[in-house]
Amino acid sequence: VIDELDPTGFVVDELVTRGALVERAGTGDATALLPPALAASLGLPDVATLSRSPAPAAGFCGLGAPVLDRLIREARATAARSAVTWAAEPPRAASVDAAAARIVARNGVIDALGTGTATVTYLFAAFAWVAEADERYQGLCTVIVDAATGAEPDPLARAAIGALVAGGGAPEAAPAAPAAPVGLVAARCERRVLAEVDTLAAAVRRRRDREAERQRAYFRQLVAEACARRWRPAGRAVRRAPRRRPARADRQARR
Amino acid sequence: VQASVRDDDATGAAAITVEGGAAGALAELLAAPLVSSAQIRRTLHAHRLAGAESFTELMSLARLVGVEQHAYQMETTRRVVRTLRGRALLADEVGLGKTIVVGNVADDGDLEARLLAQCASAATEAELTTGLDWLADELLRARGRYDDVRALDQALFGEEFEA
Repeated sequence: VIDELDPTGFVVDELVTRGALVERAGTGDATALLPPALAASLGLPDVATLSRSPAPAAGFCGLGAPVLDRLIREARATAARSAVTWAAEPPRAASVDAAAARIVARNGVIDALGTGTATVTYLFAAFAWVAEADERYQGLCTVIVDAATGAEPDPLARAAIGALVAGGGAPEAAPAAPAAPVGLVAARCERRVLAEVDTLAAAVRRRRDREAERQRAYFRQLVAEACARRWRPAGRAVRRAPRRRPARADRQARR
Repeated sequence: VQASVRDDDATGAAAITVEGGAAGALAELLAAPLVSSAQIRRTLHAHRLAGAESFTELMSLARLVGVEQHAYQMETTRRVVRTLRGRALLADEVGLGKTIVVGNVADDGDLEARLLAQCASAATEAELTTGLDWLADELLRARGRYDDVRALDQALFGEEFEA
């Protein structure tokens, strides 16, 4: 069973990159044969069984495992950069004609004269962000822009670019780094992070307001208890003081 | 990208600042040497895993072996780690799992590192001996990490561990 996050898969990929031989079972667990130096540096045996759940005879590599933490820390230490080229085939003329037939243009005639491809360079940037409030939040936002114009691609192109990035492959010759979109990408990244953090900030504020209201209610109750009379004297237990007769001079003054 | 949220006492609004997205820094990154896109994929995978390892999920749960876990213990652990920042006094009926909560908090809140820091800043060892000795024993029983607790005891008090 391989979950979406697949920490074992990440560990397997990293170990293979560093020279280990790894065989993964259908259950998601894996058996790795590690070079001695790598095994010593990671604190694993030369032949290690990697499992996403703790087990007595297996090396644990699920969330929170020291080996996973270390590999994650090392992978995140540097910003990686790559360039890939996708040689897409031009669409078939028949497909274009069929698509054109479904488009109704007022006072216009659509006639597909031919098909071809054009070269477009996109900049795909992934930003990891960390927000500290009463909790610690982390996230990842991606920005894709046309390197020449700064325009965002349509959803189909975004999906194709995402698949291209996820597919792996050897690095290609990088196109000249365009100067203009860099500021644009930074601004869009900041705007997206702010939008996500803004939502978090609202949630944090609601939580703090709730806590503050709970504390106010607690102290209101304390004050009310302190002000309330906890006992009432019984009438018979208290002797009423005798009414004092006014002095003679006072009686005469009242008359 | 570092995003920070601070309460503005004057206006009552949360001030949000984002650092690290500057165009200059980004231009420097774009001049870095190329790597394979497989490494890009692994790096993105690492970032997703790091996000999942944040406080939304208790890492200690995956490490607990042979311990019966209850929802109220996990909720208490989350509250101690997240809201109370690890500073709490647990008081409950006997047998409800205070020790398990302490172990979880120690695991998720990196309590050992804080204990060592406190010991380094303490005026005398006597200030910490009683409390830390007890806590080390509790950690030992909660997690079964005999070696770590022995090393902790050695580092704190310079003497052999006594169970």
